Amino acid sequence: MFARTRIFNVLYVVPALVLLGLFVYYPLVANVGFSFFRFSAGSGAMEFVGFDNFARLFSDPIIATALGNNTLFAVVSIAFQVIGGLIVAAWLTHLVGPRLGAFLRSVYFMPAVISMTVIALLFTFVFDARGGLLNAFLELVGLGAFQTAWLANVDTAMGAVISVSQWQSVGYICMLYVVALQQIPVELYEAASIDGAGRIRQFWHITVPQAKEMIFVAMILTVSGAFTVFNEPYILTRGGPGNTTQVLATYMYNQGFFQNQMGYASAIATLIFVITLILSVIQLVSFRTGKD
Amino acid sequence: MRSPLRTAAAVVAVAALAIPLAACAGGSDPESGDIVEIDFFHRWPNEPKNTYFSDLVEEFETENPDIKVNVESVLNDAYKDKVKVVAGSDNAPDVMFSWSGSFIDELVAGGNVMNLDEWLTDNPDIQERYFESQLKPFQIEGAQYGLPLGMHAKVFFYNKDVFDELGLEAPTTWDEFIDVLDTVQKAGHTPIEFGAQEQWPIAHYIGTLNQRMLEPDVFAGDQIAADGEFTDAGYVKALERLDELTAYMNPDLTAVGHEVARNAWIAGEAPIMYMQGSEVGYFADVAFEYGTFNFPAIDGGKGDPLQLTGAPEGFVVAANTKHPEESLRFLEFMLNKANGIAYTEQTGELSAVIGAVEESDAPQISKDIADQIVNASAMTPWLDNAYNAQIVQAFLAETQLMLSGQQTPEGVMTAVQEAAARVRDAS
Repeated sequence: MFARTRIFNVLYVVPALVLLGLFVYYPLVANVGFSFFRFSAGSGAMEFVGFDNFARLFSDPIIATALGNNTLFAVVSIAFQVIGGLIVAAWLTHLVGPRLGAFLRSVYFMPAVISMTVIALLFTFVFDARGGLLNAFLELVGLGAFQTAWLANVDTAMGAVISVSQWQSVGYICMLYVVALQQIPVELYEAASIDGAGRIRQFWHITVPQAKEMIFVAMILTVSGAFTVFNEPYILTRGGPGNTTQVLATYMYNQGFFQNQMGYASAIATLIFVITLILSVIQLVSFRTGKD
Repeated sequence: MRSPLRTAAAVVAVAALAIPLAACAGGSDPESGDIVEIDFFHRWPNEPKNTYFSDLVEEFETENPDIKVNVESVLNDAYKDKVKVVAGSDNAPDVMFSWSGSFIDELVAGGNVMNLDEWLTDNPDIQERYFESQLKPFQIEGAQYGLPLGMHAKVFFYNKDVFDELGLEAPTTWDEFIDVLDTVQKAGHTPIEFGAQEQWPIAHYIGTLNQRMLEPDVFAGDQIAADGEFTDAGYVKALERLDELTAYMNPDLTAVGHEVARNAWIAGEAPIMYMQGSEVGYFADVAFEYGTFNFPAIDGGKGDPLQLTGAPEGFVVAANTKHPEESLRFLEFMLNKANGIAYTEQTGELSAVIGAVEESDAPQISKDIADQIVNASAMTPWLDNAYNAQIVQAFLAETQLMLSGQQTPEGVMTAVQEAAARVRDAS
């Protein structure tokens, strides 16, 4: 009987394993293999070049730019989404009435259901240098001196790209937090307020520890999202001006499909994978989830 | 006792998941009767060419009831990416669009394109249809791999009303050009409209400037991937000339797209813009008289100042097509004289078929540009088709930075030289 149950268990898992293996693990391993070759998409001829592609990663200044941009993306995303999202969620749950809270939650969540492509195109109008909404607004409130070509100015382009992503994702992360905060027993807050803890102390000592699991999920989502981001920079700037808003994923795409350096693109893909893997492991270990 | 049922359920579940996989792996298309299906891939999902090509395909199918043409199209940059991938696959489209220059070189090097020599020898009248100068860019090592659709050339368009008002003539030398620009600027106008948000319009300026500035041997030599070094001092000087021009251009160059710039020129915001002859098709709303002049000669430049920058684009047939006879029939039909005339009339572009532009109802200025192309001493290839994609990328990205004041001409060339070194190593 026991053996048969085991066979059944395996049988039920097989389809998922086959799909995962075929579409996740096989490409992953194959990609690492491809990183050791030089080849183009159009022809089958592959030339083995050993670690050349990886050596180039370390001497390529655009990789450094891209890594810097991804890191900036991650830092800003943590500040706005992981931290800011939690504060907004706590505010929505505890300080705002249930009706207004539900309304605001929908308002904040709305951008998350719009396609990133649509949002990015919309924001090209916001950031447009000639008559864009942002410049028009600055003019209106008397800050005309700050007007600039947001997506074409090397100093503002990356910030503009990152801000679009925050606008979209804060509501989504916030929603995750709201779910977590609603699970926290009200008694904890009551007990704390009887003990004389104010709102801020309650936030630090009850909300944050109780929402720890969700903070962990939000960290994984935003950080790995920040290192694999593609749509926003690709649609808003295509990595320009020059290569100033290039991130790893857009640079990989550019190398693979525009410059036809499939091997080098595979090496960049491997780099992205290693970075996200290391960051996820660090977070898994440091949060030690499931052991509390 | 529920086990048989569970077994059945599990088997069904596995089978259900396996079916789509099997479908993926199979992918055999059913042979329907005697109709041969060929795939046609072009780069114009936008008007007016999308309609032009779908009408053309319909006409072809009516004349050839035994052939069905499946059309697919994606725009410009996406086309470049996609065709490199599909051309090498088993499902390569039978007939596809191709630029001349490094684009077709790469397709041919990958073994993806059919050599047309045998077919053209058997049908000498087909080869004789086209201007010799427009066939040549589709030849690689003496063999013809593609046929030209349209001729393209870049010239300065200028607003004759503004020029007349200020007493200006179309310039032929760099000094005259700068004088014109100074006069226009002093009169309170922005002289040149330029959109450098996308990188390809930048390629057109630098490509021409390089050709005008450099020794012809150096210019041609650096186009060979195995030798290109880009160390000639002329490259930096060419970039300095572009830098000099930016003082006369609209602000925030890199924030302005080419179409926005063109609309600004059409609206009369600046009198001069560097555009392709085929863009005349967009000028229906122009409220002023306009003319053209070739890129001025540069003092101290070693290249032929009468050369015109531009290259034809056309179609190729896949090397592994299962229906070569039908594909060639379609290629022949698409690029015959009647369709050349229709192409010129409906799209405003200049057909490469001899006499097609002349016999069409195109405006005189289009006919003049066609004459200029045919009579040009030689054509300078587009920069993005002349060099390996890695060199192009370095050239354009760094120059875009230069245009926004973040890079020097020397810095651009250092990046280009590094890219060229990588390309040399690989070839």
